Amino acid sequence: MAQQVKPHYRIVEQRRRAFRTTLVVFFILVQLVWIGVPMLMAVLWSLVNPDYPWSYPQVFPSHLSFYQWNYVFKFTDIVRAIATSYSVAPSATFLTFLLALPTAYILGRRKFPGREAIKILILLPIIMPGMVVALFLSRVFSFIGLDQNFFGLILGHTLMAMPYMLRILTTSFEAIPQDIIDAAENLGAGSFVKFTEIFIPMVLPGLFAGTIFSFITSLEEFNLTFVMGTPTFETIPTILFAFLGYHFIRTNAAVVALILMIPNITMLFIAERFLKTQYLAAALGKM
Amino acid sequence: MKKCLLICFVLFLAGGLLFAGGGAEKKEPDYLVMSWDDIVKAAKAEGSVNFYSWWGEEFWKTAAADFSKKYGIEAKVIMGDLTANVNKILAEKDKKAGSVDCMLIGGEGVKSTIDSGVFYGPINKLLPNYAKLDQKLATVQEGVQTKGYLAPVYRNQTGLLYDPDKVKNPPQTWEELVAWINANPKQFAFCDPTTGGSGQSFVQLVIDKTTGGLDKYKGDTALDTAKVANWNLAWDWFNKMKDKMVITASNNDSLSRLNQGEVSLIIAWDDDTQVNLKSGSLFKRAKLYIPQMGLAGGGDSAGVLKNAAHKAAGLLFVSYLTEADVQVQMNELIGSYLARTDVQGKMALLPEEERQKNGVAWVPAPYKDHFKKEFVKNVLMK
Amino acid sequence: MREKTRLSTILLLIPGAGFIFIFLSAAIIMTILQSLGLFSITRASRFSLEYWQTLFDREVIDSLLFSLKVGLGSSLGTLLFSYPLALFMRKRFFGRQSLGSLLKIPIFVPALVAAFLIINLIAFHGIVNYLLQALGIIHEPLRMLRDKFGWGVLFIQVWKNTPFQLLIISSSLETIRTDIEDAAMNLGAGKLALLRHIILPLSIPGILVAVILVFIMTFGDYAITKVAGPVYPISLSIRMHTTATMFQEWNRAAGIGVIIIVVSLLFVWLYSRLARFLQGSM
Repeated sequence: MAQQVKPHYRIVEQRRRAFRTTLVVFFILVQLVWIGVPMLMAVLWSLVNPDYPWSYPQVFPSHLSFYQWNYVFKFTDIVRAIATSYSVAPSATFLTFLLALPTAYILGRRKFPGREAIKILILLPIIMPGMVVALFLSRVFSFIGLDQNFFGLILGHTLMAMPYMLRILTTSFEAIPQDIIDAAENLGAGSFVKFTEIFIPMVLPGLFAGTIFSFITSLEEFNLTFVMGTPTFETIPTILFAFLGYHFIRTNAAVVALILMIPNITMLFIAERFLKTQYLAAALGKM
Repeated sequence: MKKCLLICFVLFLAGGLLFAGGGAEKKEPDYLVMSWDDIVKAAKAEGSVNFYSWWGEEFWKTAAADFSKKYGIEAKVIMGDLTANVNKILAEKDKKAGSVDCMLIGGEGVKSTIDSGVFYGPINKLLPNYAKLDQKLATVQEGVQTKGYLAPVYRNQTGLLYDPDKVKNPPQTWEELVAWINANPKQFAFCDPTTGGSGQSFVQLVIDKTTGGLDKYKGDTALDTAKVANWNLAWDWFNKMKDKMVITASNNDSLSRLNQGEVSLIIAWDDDTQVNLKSGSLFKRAKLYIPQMGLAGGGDSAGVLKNAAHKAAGLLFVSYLTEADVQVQMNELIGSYLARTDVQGKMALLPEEERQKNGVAWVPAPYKDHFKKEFVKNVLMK
Repeated sequence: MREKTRLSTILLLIPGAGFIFIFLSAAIIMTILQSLGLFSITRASRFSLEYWQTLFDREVIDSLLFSLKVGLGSSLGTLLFSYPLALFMRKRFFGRQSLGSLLKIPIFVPALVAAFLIINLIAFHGIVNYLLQALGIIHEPLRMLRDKFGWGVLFIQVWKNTPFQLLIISSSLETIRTDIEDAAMNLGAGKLALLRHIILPLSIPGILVAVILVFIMTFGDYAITKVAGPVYPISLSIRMHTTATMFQEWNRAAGIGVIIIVVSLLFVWLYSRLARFLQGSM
């Protein structure tokens, strides 16, 4: 019996696939390093033992301790910042939702002249340079007494979160098939029933996505809070900025960076798991 | 119907009167003429106080906690930023009740706040420990006559900080420093004077050594353009040496670069150095000294705001900061040099004699302002 | 449209779109008015064009050039990574899902945290310098942070924005119909020719969007440049903020703000023109 010889194209394809897989493994490793090493460094810096300063020429700190975490929580304004961040974020998200819902409905389901223009205009807070808006909106706010004011902060955060919520909700509303609504109307459903039984349930995933993105946007919001809120109000990003800038103490910065990042990433991973990619794409412009 | 209207009208009037009565301006006691015991009593009645600072949180938070325990008055310390704090109180200047009771003030903030008259006082005759504080700093701070409105809280001093493994003969005179910089390019660092006092100290040193000394500016309350005419000599020096030096972004940036081994000799504040040593952000072998040629030092002070909502408590808190045991605590926690001249602290990085011998005063504020702007224009921009 | 629905449309648009419109225009109008000398804080308000002369100050021009450099450098630098990655991720292969998730992570990292993470890596005695020295590629550690060119800022922006550009370009690549590619291959086109003549031209709209969006974000950036950028020159946004808050020269700062807005809008307009042009030609 003649030895089975692999046809030429098979060999080529095998080699190509093997090459590809190696490349993929290589890329995954590179990505792990690209993402993982920075995070590892941050964690290590947050665990530096004050009696064994991590300085040149060590590659890794020799001793670890929780001193830095203890210090940051005890002596810096981080607790106040966490309280502010996590009370502004839900308030702003709620306000954003209330204001976005009717507009998203109209943009999603009703055709009217100027609709496309408005859909683009909504993206302005993301496109407009952040520090310019922050600086001069704070002037406006100080004229109406909302400067260094909690409600003013909520309004500012709502402004920044609105584009995301609007885009996501609009996409959700657009996705509702018209024939379901027609069928419901045929069966005599009034506006209220239409709303509660059809619209709300069908936009629920979008609502969830929008809430998460708005919440995250508010948690990460820096420019507006820095100009209008500090020093009366501190949020986690403004404290991190202080620790990275004039107050540069790497160990403190590491702790605050982790405090800011970990809930964020957790929330967004959860969101990504449960959402269709259309929402992720709709939230383009996420900074 | 008519009876109903009449009753409504009477109730309305009564309500209006209540409003007027309740909202009538309560005459505020003049604390400046009260006895200290009465002020303490009034402070306890006020029940809370807030204090704005910008660095040294380990001390301020501890002091606030201890103060609260001692007097039963809830003290809150807010760690902001010097510029932001000053902007805030200037913005609130005309409000009847501001949101800041008392604050730490120093650097550029002294001129703008004293000129705007935002402080309550004068408090120099009021506070029990005032006479024991450094009177030089109490009279003139940053070249500004503070007229008794501010109480010095700590003194500070800039010095040369180095890595003894790399620097074997720390320079003491101007010529030695210049020679060292030339021999060790990119090993000497100072910070941008617009962001940190340690940088301002170096710029002042260069002006001193290249344009003929600092005595001619003493006592001036405004910029005399004739006296700064030859400052181009200083800028020329900087531009000539720029490539051999590292200009960092802030006080702490200099310290961080020293720690990382990027540079080996920097200008640093004594208290900043202590804080970094304590937190493990600077290697323990670092050494600080004031060179014989002299480097600037001064201090920061605290004041009570004119529109503070809790004036008595504010006065009490400021006074508390001048207590002997609190001053020692400040020195232990953040390495500050005591403002009290009758008490010794153990944790100061620089010995007292060195400070007296080699410490130099700051030039008056208008000149400091001027050289900050000129440095940016003539050195950074080129 | 019936009057009733027109009214209800407008009413329902007000909470969401109206909110954005009101606050944003208030901010922009305030910027413009202050740049013209009105609403002055420190002196009497009067209309004046003097603050627009700030455009010609050397320091403002330096900042403008620097910001432009950072913007273009960031967006093009990111493209160097994101485009090849997007091409690679087109076909299905083993591990695509995991690689995709890993690549997306920086989107979820807030700007300041990203800045901090990269600052640690490229610090003078950070791991990057350590490795480069260990491999013998360099003898002295590189100064990559707060350097005159702005490499620190560029690294951070590239790290942060790669997945963002990747998403945009990927979705644009997806629209390229495979039958065009098959046809080309049938006619004997090799991989390289395929890339040059078919994929690249067809992916240009996506590339444009990606580049311009990242440009706008990085051009007007404040936080990252403040934390990792050079002592001089400073970015336009930083100059604006310092002029306003440290020197209390709000009118002049407003002038700088107008410059930032105008350049950003210019690029947005550029994008919409290009996009329409290319879409029309397809």
